[in-house]
Amino acid sequence: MSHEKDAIFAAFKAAATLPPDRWSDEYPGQPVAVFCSYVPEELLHAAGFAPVRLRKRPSRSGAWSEHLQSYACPLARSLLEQGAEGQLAGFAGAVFAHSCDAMQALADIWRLRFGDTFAWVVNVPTRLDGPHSSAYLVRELAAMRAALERHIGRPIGDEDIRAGIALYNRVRALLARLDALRDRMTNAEYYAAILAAQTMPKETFIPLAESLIPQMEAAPPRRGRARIIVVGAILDDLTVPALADDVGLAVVGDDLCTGTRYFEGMARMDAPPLEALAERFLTRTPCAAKHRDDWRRGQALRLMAQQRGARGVVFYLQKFCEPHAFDYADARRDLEDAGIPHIVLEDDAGPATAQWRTRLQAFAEMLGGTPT
Amino acid sequence: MTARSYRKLQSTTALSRLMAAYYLRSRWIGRMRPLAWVTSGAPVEILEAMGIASVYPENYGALCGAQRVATDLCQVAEAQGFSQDLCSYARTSIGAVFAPENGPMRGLPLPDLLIASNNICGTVVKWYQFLAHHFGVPLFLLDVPYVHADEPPEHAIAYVEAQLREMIAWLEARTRRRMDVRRLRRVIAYSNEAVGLWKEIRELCKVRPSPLNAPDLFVTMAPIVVLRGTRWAPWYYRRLKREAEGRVARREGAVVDERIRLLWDNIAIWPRLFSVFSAFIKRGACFVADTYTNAWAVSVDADDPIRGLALAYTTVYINQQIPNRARLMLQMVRDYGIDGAVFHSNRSCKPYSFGQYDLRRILEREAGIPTLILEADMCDTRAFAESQLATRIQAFMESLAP
Repeated sequence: MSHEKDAIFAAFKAAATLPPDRWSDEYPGQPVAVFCSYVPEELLHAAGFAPVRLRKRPSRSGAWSEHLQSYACPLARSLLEQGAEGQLAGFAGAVFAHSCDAMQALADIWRLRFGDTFAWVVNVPTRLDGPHSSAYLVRELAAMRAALERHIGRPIGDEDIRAGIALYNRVRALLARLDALRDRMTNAEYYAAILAAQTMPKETFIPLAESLIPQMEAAPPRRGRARIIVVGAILDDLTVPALADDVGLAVVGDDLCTGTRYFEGMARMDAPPLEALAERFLTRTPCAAKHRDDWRRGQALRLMAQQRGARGVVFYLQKFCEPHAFDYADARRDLEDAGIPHIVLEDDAGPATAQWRTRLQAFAEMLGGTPT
Repeated sequence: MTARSYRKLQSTTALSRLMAAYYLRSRWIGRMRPLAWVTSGAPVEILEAMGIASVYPENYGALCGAQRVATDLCQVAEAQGFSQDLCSYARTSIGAVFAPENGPMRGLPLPDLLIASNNICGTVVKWYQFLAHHFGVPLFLLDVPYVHADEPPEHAIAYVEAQLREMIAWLEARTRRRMDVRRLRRVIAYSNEAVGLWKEIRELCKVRPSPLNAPDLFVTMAPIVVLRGTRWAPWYYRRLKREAEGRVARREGAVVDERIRLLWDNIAIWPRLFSVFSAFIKRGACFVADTYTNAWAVSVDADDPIRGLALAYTTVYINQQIPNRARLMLQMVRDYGIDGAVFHSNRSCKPYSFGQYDLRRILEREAGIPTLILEADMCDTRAFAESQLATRIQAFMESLAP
């Protein structure tokens, strides 16, 4: 089946902006809400669910304020609001992974408020490179598997999990190929695809991506844009990529939870499946809430800028996000030492489109990009 | 606090001398080396048993807050790119790293090692990563999984226990000092003695009138944090306990004419410690219990010290899920005869503050007591308006004792 690229991008964009309460109108399967890229979606798939990564959406009712202070990050506030407004009524449950203090509290509050639905926390270790981290994480994954088995009333076999890993490895490989084709796409097109992969059932996403890739390989590269890297926690909508398009910036790489960190690295097929999942989590680029002795975000950004020919870095930070705010303060010194300019865009209640456009435009002019 | 409405502790003189000696000693030991900077939830018994000196940037942050120099130090950190939304202990400490001359005692002596444990928050992970990069010294992170259940799962305890053994080997390799298990047992005995005394002192507050008020505990908790595992902590707490027992025997309350008994949640508002509590004291309210100083009330099984430390440091109060915190608070309401609860919604301490709205509802529903939320910060005076606190406290007290 072949689709025209414009139709495929339109489908990706629709998925990337789909509110959770409309998910079941569009796609088959039983959705489970996923709150973090350290959630082992392969296990949920093996249990027969369709994992859907929830994103921040503009606040409507302010229902979060019943449970959280205003100094909670906008992501935590929005996720809680979506739950409180009943937008997840069609979902079979929610799965958290331990990352930062806000998500830790959200997981507790969520289970208090929505105690009648399936909700699980995978307590992913904070130390990723300790000699005992892997054994501990495998036990945590086994506990999640057991909880899912109790919930669905049947065992989940190793073969089921392996099938999930094979499917997700296929998705990861496709996303990596799209990553290599960024220069043929607008930023908004690329991030629509990446966000769609986290929203659509994988079985829906794969044929669309497989059809798109050869078409993009045949497309000419876009020239004249200034090359940048975007770093942060989540990129929740297409505002920043689209603004970057408008002002002549090309996002040639990222360090984002909903970007490269989501699909980076394959899980091994030749290892016991829970060990393979643990190994992938422990070795991919760490979330800012995690720790690895030999790793510094600033150094990794320098390397990425060098490898991808990027001339500037945009920190896209969520207001009140402590892990990334600390990393910014540390990484900016590494970037300044390397002569790599950077700017910060801070997101609170929603896209600050006008201010961001001005800042991105000034950044593009400084780096020498041409608007497309 | 007026002398008429509040009884000052006599043993505070001993505390001041002890803490002055502690800071002097850490400067001296700072020259002797090795010296570690540690978080308040780090297993300091291991360091103490190995003869490694330790200082506490969080305690230093509280000291700066109480001396009202924290906000200036925060601004130093902000000028270095640290967001104003970050924990004010972290900003204060980092500010003092960049401008030690602006802090008490011209900053802390520089570290050879860093030991952080995330059993109190994720902030310390990032804070200590920065310190490790800045000073170029090694960091050991003791990763303690948060307890998202009634009890920690066995594999989590095993994970912490394995890391404690790893930490000992790590310290031995970096300091050329050996762990002596007999010495560890002795340190744990001191630690348990201090924790036991601290528990007994806090339990004396079940008596009416309560011999101590939460600000007394906030001030006197310093040794349980920074001198845990030394003979000095029990030395001081024996004095404090004697004094509190004397008050109980004489039926003297910390608050003269105690009429209302309250529960405090979260870290103190250090720069406004006395003005905030005065507003309660002058209306006859005493904070007879709090969740903060309770965090150092877990003793260690000395027969199986490593596992004992793993259990103790995993089950500290703010490493536990909100339902467990609610259980403890409800227990306190019953045991201490609490009439109302005050939650300090502390902008700086997200893991302690998020969930307070649910805790408040649970207390109101299950214990039938009124509650108050005070939006403030433990150090940064720019983050709240003092007059608003006063208005809210007044309204709450009028509802409790019209």
